[in-house]
Amino acid sequence: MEVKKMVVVVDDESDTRTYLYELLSSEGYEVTTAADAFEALKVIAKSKPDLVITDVRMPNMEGMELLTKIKNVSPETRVILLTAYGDCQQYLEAVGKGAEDLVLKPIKNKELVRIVRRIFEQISLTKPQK
Amino acid sequence: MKPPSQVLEFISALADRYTYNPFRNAYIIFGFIWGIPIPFFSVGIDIFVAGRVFSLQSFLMAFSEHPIHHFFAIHPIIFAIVFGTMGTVRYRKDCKIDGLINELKGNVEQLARANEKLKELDKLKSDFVANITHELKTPLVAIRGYSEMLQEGRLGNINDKQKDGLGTIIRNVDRFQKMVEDLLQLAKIDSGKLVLNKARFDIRDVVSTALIPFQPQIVGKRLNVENAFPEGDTVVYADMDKILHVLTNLISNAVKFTMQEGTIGIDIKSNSDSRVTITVWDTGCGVTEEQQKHLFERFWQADNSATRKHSGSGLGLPIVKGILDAHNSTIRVLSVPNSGSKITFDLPLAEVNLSIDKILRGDVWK
Repeated sequence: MEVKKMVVVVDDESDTRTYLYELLSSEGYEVTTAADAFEALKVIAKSKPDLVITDVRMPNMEGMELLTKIKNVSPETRVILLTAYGDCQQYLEAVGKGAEDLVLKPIKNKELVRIVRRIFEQISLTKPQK
Repeated sequence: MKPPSQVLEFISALADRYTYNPFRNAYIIFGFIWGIPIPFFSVGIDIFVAGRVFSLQSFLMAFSEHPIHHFFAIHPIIFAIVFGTMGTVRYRKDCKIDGLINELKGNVEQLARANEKLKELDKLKSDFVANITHELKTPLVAIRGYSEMLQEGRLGNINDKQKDGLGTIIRNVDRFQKMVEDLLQLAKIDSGKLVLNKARFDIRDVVSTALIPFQPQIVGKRLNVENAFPEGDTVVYADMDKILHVLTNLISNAVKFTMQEGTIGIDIKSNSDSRVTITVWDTGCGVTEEQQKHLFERFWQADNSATRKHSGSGLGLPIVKGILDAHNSTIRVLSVPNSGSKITFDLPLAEVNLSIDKILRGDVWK
């Protein structure tokens, strides 16, 4: 069975959004973008994506808060956080709240692609068992 | 010859109105009272010596017989003036001290206000640095991301020359990013916000980890690596990430400043005072004694000429020093130009064995 691989990208920077859209599309995922957390939550509630990639620092609602809300709305959805300056503390907080990973900006393509692939491998392994 | 300053002070006080105002200057009254018995004494001695009988009559007689008694009679007034002058001198000094105290109070207030302002500015600076780091890094995401996508051929085929060009862009983006991170680290050290997450770890493991990224350069320059790790206890108690940062920086310098086929090495030694000494040494260019003084200054480079061979921001060693300062560890540099450098610092051994001993002895429950 072909798994529909849907990714939502949330970032207030339009260039970063477009770049992530291009990168993940070229990897064969179905990508939707959102400019802020509220827009993202609408999309997530409607389409229940497999993966959300979100910036930590955004106006209106921060990535950490968005992470908690996503886990409430759609617990199955995996989340990757992006941050310009992360430390151990932030990583632990993110993972503690249910994120898959905290990726440092500027993003290294290979690193992000590897993480995303790994997550979808996990999804495809766990889904058929249900 | 100049008279002493006290005399001048006394003479000038003599001319002061304060000296003659008994309502304000209590010294005058004090002096006057002290002066009253003196004429009685002088006349009394006169009567005693003459062998007369003490009476009002003999007293008046003795007083009128000798002019010296008239001089003694004005002693209460002379004493009043002399004591009054001393009172004035004292009063002037008090005024001066009061003035100084007030001035000091004013200065203290001014300093407190300035300090308050500095604290505010410092906070603004830290916030500014945090913001600027974010702002500087944000454009890098798109620059680096697209360059890499182009290089990987995700946006169409490109030739090798174009690929090399993109490689240069990415390499410089990474360099820029490292610089931004160094600045943030330094800002944290400055504002005392460097938080240490201390834990127990084996320093040998961290040294080995720190060496890994330099393998290509070590192989490329055909450098010898001579490490001396002891068998004994090398488990230290420190912030592992930050110590890794320190070692990475020191090894990077050792590799950078050592010529082809030279030698670099890391020695670990546990001391008797329950500390571990780590030495990073090389047979590289070294620095002169004069240059050693500046090693930990920001943006300082041993070779500041435009044609210098080695690149770097000049922030590496100040950060190393900041991290080690936070660990209460001092960094020592021993270097001879053209023959090599030795950089040493120490870390406390973890008290792992001690606590086991304690448990065995049962001390832990006491």
